[in-house]
Amino acid sequence: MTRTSDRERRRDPARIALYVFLLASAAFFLLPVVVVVLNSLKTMDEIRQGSLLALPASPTFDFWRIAWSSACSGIECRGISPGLFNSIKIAVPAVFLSVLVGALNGYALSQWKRPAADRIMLAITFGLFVPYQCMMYPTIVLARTGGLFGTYPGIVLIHVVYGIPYTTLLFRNFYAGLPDELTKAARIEGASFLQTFGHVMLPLSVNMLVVVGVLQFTGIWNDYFLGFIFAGNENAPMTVQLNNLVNNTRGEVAINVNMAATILTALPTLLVYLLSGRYFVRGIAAGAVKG
Amino acid sequence: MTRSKAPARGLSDMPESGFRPDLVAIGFFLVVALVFYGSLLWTGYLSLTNSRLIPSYEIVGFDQFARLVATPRWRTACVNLVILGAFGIAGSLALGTLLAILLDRDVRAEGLLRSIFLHPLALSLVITGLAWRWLLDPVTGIQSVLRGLGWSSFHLDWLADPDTAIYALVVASIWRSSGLVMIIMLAGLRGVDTDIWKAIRLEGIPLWRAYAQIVLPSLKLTIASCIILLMADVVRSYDLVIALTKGGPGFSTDLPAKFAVDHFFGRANIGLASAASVVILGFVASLLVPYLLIQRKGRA
Amino acid sequence: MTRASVFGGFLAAGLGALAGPASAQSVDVVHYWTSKSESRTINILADAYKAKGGRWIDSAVANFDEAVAVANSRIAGGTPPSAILMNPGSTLDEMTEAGYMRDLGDIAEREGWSKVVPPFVLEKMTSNDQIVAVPLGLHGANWLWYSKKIFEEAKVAPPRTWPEFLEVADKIKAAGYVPLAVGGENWQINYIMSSILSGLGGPDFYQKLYVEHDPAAAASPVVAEGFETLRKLQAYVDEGSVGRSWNETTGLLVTDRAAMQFIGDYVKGEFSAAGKVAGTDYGCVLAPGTEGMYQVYTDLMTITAVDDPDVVKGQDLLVAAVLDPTVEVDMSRSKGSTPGRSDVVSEGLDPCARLGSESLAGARKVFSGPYETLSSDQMGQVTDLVGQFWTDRSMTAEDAATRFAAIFP
Repeated sequence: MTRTSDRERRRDPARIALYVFLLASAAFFLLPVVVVVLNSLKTMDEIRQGSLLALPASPTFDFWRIAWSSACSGIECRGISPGLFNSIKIAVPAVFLSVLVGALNGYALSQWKRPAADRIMLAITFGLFVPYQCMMYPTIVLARTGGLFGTYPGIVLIHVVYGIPYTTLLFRNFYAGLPDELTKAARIEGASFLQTFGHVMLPLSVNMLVVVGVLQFTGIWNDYFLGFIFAGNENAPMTVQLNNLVNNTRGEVAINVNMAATILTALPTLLVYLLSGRYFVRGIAAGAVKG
Repeated sequence: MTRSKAPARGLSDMPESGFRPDLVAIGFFLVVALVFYGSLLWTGYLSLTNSRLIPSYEIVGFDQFARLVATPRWRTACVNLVILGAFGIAGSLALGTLLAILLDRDVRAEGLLRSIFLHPLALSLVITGLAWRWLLDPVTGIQSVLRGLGWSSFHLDWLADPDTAIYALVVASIWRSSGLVMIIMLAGLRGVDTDIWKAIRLEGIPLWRAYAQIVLPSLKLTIASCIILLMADVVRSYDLVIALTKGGPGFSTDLPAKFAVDHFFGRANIGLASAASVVILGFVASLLVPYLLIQRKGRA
Repeated sequence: MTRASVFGGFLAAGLGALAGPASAQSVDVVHYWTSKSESRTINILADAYKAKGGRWIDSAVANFDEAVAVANSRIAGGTPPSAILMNPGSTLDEMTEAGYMRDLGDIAEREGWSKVVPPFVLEKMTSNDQIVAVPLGLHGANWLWYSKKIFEEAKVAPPRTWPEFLEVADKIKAAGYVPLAVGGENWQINYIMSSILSGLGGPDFYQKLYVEHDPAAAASPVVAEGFETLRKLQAYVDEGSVGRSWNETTGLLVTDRAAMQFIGDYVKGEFSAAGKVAGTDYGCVLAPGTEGMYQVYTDLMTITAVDDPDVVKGQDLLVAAVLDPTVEVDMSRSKGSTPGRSDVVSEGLDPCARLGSESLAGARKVFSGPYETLSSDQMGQVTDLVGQFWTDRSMTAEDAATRFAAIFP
């Protein structure tokens, strides 16, 4: 493309409208986060007196520090930092297992060429629509029966199991779209199902693994409800502390500290999204698109 | 799709040699069946009892369902689910698709814009709720900012009015979900055969018609999977209500899932909560029928 | 086999799963005291407990409903907490009935609790004829708080009846202030509604409706009159009220922007945090028409049934720490409550606290607040109705009253 044609295109009114719309949309999408960040840098007096979109007069990270290390929830005044390790400890193995289970199950369902497989896929997809909050009680009793309630393996497992519908659906669509010759070739060489999956299919699925991994990481990292019910005291994730801070219905509300705490909790997921950008688009193209 | 390429008969001639996807699939299905369907059956059973704080197993019939139907709050919750579903899904789909089409027109800083549109997906609903609650608050939010700038007649108090508060939830849910639609549709658009575009250019079809009549219809499976994901989000949008309105003002923004959770815990009425859950699952089943039809059609 | 014994068995099996090494005399306490003054209060208790040699595991959850949810989930999951901060009422009764709670009767007898705890409080600690809890403090419910500055400027005195309230509110409005600070959450509206009904109906009506759940009282014209009064109050509320928490709402009184608020006496924590003094900056009276009664909420540390001897020892220690006279006084100072023991001297009470403690000592008839006397399901229905009435201005008081009566069959 030459310089002149580029410049011409830029002057085209339709082009200008396109950019105006995109920028306006970007503003709409960024507004909430901007508000949260701006106000996390202001003192409470400034927040009360000024407009919420005003720039902070003298930006300070004091409230980030308070949110991180000294805000109180219950008798503990250690901010949300103690939950960070728990969140990592839960999210990392849960995401890893969840992706692996989804890939394995998705591949199995794509290879099992019987009507039963379709019916099973449908039955699993149904799980995607179940508000799990509504079936807490039986699940708790199930977890107890397995000796898993309120334990570290328990919370990891519950995330993995609740993730099965979502991860299976995405991976099955992905593998169903790959040419069958790959599997056939492996089978002719006498590879077992697991060998085919591990040696042939997994290495082909990097983009999809990233997509599902990112989606699951976001879901698990941001989960509050399951962590609060199933994780037990010792393993409570960051979001439980965040909730104690933010949803405090009694006592004074320190908006700036709340805002800072929400950003701190959101940083890992934001980072993962930004870093995974290109893989993410490719993976979506490979998987989710093929309904 | 795949089935047509590789008929099962051809493969069955090969030695079975431990290539057993069925075992793996059945194994995982049993786990899902136990956790999801086991819990659902149990919930169904409890909905026929008058369990309060602690489950009771004495069946009393359909009393809980009768009470549910007679409860104004439940009816409001169901209407809200329909509003949120219709406008939220339509809005996310429209905005997401539009953004995808525009981004596909060879724009600068595509990566940056894409990240901006996608980032709400990374944020927890706590932050979403906090931020939107603030922006839409008539005293601290956009209304006061614009009035402060001199636009004194500006009016934006959706959250304060029971008739409009549900639309605040619609806005927040569009904000949250459009990015996902955008990225899926973008991937779909990139996959459209270049020959189709060549033909469009040759025929001189105006761009908007090309999209409306040729390109988007060719992506109907992609659109269907967007709708499925959005629907799943709507049915489970408990967290969003909690974060944004807690169901208020009054119970004007209540949703069935919140109704059920409130009755499970705070209200200590497991029987009624279970009945509510059963009805929610009825909704779900009715949503899955169109999905099935679309899938069947797509495959045929 | 009954449900209770099934769960009793699960309780027995559960404690082994409690994470971490079990040290001697530990308690795991589920509570919802997470605000500044609340966590200060729970810390007083935790420190006293630790000083006696126990190990305190803190399970703080942001609000009451969630705390009960987590406690019940843990009981169902076989890892019950050792103690739960709760209020008396239907939920506690059901838990006791199911065998979840520990009977403290033998300790009570040994230590002679009936001599140091007033009968009213002892009754609150009792559920299904078992003593299952110890009192952390008592809060008065039927209060009206007001800004002294605005009252002086508008030249009005605290209203003593509901018609008087409306007159006072008009004068305050004319003086350019928000007459009534309301947080537009359903429970806060309902808080006002129960003050209205108490004031219009008087102590006997309160007893019949809220304590005895008498259908005739629920169908009486007082209820419709109450809804009409509630509707009139809407003219005195500011536009930022929707969804506002009670303490943000108190902020309007602290900054002298609004004149009055109906809320429990835990509000004093908010005033004192802002450096405001009772009797000087803000005043307190009982809600219009309720001078003859004092409605009380009791914060209880309820003790669960567990088998692990170390936890049982820890619970014994916790019970002793709660009832320690110094701890009782310190906690009530910190939280603005009245101690659960009658034999402790608390000096230097502010005028509001004095009125409360005189009431408890017999100056007026003492009742439990509506949230304790109605079942959580019934209270929930009332709250939904009142919240709907408040937001839906087309609903008539008669319609609301009819639906109110239907909640009390």
